[in-house]
Amino acid sequence: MARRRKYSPEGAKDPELDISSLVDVAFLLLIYFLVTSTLKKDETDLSIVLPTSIPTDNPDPVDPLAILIEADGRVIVDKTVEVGGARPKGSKPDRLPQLRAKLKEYKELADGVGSKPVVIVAAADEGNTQRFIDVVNALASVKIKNITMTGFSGPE
Amino acid sequence: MASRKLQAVLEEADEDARMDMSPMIDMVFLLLIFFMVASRMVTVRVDPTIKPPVADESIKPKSAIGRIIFNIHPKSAGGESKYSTSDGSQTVSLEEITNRVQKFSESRSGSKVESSLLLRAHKDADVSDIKKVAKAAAEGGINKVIFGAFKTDK
Repeated sequence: MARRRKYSPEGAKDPELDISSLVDVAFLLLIYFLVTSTLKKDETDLSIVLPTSIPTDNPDPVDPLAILIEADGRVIVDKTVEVGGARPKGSKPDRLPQLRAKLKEYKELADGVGSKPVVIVAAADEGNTQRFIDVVNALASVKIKNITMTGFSGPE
Repeated sequence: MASRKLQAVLEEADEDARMDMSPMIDMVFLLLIFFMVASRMVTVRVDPTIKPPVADESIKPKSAIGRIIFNIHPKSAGGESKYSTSDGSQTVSLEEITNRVQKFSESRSGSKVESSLLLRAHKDADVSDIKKVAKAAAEGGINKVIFGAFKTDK
């Protein structure tokens, strides 16, 4: 079977698009982003709600849970149970598994009686922020946001 | 006269050697799209000297609306506390924090988004400073406190 051949005059070339200017612009943009962007970690949120001074008529049926953070980093629940050991300044974050287990128990108990779980955190003034955040982090893991902070000292 | 075949060979030899740039353009566009997607425009200037603590349960904020930001620096060698505004340009006292928070919450009265205090405390700052700033903010009318943190320490 005979095939039709497309007519093309001798010496005629395919039309070509000059893309060099496009490459220039693309490189320019690439260099701009390479220079201006910095690989920086995003900051995330860990939120708590401090109690207001409005008194309630119906006291919660479940007692609040007291957590004590000592200056050396020890974490004590209900004045007796140590759920986290001493941590000097500059220590890595601690997940506090024992505290999490205690908090989970307490949350289930409060939810069972339809009460809002309230935690009182008493942190020593000399304690470091990372240890305090470890505790708030453990509270966030069981979705407890109502935290009462005690041991406020007056302004300097 | 040269044959047609010979003519064709001679014509081909005359053409300039060209480099195929299409894979390079592909790569450039790929990198460009990566940086355009991965980069984030900084909308709130924050003090880079503050190294927040690490909390794996912390969450990425959906919006930064309704927040007043204060930094808590680690205690100086002399044991002095230092608090500053978001970008660290101004040092503020506890009284100023209360006043600023009060003005901020008044200016946002009627807003749908609850006002909150974003505390960017350095991981080595003293807890006493957190308590003081939280108390100062509560006196100014904001009782929702958000701690700035990193999801991982890596």
